[in-house]
Amino acid sequence: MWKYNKQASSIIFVLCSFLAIGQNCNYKITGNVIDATTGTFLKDATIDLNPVGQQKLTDANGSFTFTQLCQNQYHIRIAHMGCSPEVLYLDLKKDTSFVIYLYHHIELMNEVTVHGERNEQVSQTSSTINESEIAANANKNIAQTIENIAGVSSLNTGAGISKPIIHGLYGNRVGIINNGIAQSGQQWGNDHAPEIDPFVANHISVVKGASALAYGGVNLGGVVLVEPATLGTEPHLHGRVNYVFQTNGLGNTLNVQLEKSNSWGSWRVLGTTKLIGDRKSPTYYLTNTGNRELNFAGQYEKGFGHRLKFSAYFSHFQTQLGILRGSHISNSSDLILAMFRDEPFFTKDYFSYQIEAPSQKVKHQLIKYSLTYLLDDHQVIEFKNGIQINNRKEFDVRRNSYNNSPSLSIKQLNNFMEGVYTNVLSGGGTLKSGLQYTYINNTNDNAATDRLPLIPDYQSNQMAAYAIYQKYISKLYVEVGGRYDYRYLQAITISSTFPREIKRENRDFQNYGFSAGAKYSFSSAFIAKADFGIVQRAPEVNELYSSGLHQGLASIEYGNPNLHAENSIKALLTVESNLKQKVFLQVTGYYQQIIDYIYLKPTGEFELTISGSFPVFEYTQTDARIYGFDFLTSYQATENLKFVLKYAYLKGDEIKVDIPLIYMPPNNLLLSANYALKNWGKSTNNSVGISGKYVAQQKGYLPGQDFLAPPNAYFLLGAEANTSFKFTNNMLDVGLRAENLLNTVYRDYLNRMRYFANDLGINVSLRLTFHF
Amino acid sequence: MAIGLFALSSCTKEKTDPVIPNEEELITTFTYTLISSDLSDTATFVFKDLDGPGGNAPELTSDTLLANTLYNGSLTLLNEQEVPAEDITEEVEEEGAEHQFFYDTKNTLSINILYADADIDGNPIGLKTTLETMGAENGVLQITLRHMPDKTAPGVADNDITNAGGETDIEVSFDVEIQ
Repeated sequence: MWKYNKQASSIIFVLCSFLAIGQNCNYKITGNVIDATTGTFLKDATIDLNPVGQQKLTDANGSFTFTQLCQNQYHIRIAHMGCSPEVLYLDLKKDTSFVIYLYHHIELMNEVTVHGERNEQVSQTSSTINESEIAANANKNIAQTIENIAGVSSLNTGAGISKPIIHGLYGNRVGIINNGIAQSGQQWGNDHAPEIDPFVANHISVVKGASALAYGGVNLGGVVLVEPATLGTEPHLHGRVNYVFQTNGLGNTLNVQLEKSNSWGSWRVLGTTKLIGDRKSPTYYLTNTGNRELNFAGQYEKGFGHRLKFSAYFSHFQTQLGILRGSHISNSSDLILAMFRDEPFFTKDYFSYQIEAPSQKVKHQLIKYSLTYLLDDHQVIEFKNGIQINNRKEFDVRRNSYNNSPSLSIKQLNNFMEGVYTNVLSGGGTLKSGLQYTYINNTNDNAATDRLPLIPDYQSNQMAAYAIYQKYISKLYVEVGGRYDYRYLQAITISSTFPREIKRENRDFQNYGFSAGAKYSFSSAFIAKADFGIVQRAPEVNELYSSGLHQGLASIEYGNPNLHAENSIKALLTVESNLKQKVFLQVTGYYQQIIDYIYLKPTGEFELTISGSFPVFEYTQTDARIYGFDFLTSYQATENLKFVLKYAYLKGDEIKVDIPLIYMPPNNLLLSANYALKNWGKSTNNSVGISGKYVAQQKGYLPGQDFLAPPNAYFLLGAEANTSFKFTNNMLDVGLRAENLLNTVYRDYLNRMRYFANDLGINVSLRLTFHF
Repeated sequence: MAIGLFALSSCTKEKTDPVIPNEEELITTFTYTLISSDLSDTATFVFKDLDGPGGNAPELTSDTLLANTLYNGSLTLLNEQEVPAEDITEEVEEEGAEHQFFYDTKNTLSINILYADADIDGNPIGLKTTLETMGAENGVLQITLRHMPDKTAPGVADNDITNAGGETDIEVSFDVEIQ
């Protein structure tokens, strides 16, 4: 990754500065390669210069030199063992020198994100997944892609539907920021996965602190940032083709990416398609658990002179998700029957790609454009507009004449606008301030469902202002920020009594947020970070007004129109140490207290309906706290052998009554060993690895808090082997991976299908990535 | 920018009223009618929930049966939100192969209930039954409609719900007094 000057003003136009000076073949390219995490020089990085075909290795100072070069266009590829290689394009017109920062510890997913254009996150405790990690998990969904970060887990409904959990919180409390725009759909549903193709991202970062203030109340539990690569100035057509085959579900995932730059601007397009059939537990097929996806996206950028830049982005995501047939229940007696089966009802003894009810069909479109204008060396203004259309349909098993009608059908329009002004102050600090406006229009298609909707139609107008100040003072970096939100919500409910009556409910909310963070580098080997945030979150529509039968849980749910905002205080402390490039250690401790935490509480009452009696749940507020730590260490035992250990400990409870919070991630341990093999013929980057994952039983549980007690602890073994074949202008990566190698029978506490079926058995996947 | 401003101006509008769903699928009224074989006695058991799940509580009507009597039983399912009421019994009968009613006294009564109808495969549906009472006693009768049961599973054709599977569309329970 290019690392530009840290000051916002000089970030964007750095590539425009090459000037032509005469014509000869005596030019030089020099540079240094630095480990982005530790700031140390990287020895033995390979630098390939094409089309001349020269290769150099960096010396102990991480430096390299190519001499006697003609004026020409060059491709430079920088690689180092354990890093994802960087390729850059250079139109050589004079002697050129640059510094390349490689994310050397990328497989640890530990580094602070300091991306080109996003300089506000330096002090935040965050973790990143890069492009090669995304490609390696190509057959998974976005939440599963990041779940191996310590402190991050996923709430699953079977294998296809996952929501990210950060330090125990999810749904309305975790923001997913896709390309600078807060993903907007039906986030309230536990079985509603974020509608994002992980391939659109160049990297995905998880911000664990509450200090991502640019993103409003959704940051209460942390933020997932999905960021596409910035477009380069590469004039030749380049791209990648990814293909993954997986044995469990006989799944196929294909992705194609192309990019190019010319005088019309720079662009990238990509498309992804997935076809996965019924998954298999160790002993039986999980009937109706296939999924399909068809996604495409386009990105365009053009600079006008040195000051103005225009960028546009479009993405379309479309999926069809099967839900385990045997999990479809209608009332409490069905639930009890289904829970105590050896094998789920409706289990077929053969594999199928077919998807029937219960299932989901979801479409999501995003159109975004932004204009960035450089006022002078110290000031930048940016205008952004993102429009999202989310269309969700859910199908239940209904009587024949309704079988093709959705039981839930909701369309949402979201229009987000933001103006940001960034100013580098004379004292060296940077002040970033922004104004935001969000409009949401959410409409149920009651004519299609012929049912009363679970959440009402609504319209919301939200305005927000924020300011963030950052400054480096020698080895200390500090950041403080504040935010104000005003939301006006208009919901239109339909009565649950007959004749049906329409009622308009209006609420408004004012929320404040504050954050402060600091980072101190005691030495290049020891860094400490502290992060403190106060965030308010207004109740969401489902918490206020939901009403009706929640089929999947055999329960009746009522919103509470009198809820007020929840208030969170979260503090994080991280220490990082790097001992002689051998041992890396990172520990993050955190404590979060949420006053008036909103949750769905069983009222203890039952409501009689024609299909039996159902327990009644109502949204209510309590005081809660969540605390724990994430531990990460790696040990480079020899030049080739490396061990990684991650451990996450978390505890969540209600403060006043000392009752555990349910659905908190159990403590878990990940261990892996990776052995790098020598290059052999055309194959490079050869490695083999083995990994083990231990998930403890959730002990934070009182009998009666859930339909079933938390499942037992389990251990899963995995293995993988990777290689790359290098050709003159192309490269082919090949990876083989096995998950649940021992075909262990287990159930996971955070998978809602655990009530009905065992989790996945062995899965072997083959991945091919062709770079051209 | 133009799109954004257009959306900005459109959002100040009041949102239009939602479409009130036409809940055609809803069963509001469940009636079990028993007529003695000599036509001298009639009993009706009714479960009625006009507004569906939530809202007002359902109304339950129970009845008294005579001891040592053979009754012919029949079920009717109505959606009384519609005017005139929609008869859903026919729909269940047409899709008979995918539906079956189960009658369970939870061991509180010594009555005998037998199926008196069949679907196209010759398996019982349970819309029509015979009910034979013994001595005077009090108890409960739970009637369950399963959608997509496994009609070939052991015991299912003999009114045993244990292995039936499928989803419960109806589960109502009545107090029964036998004099």
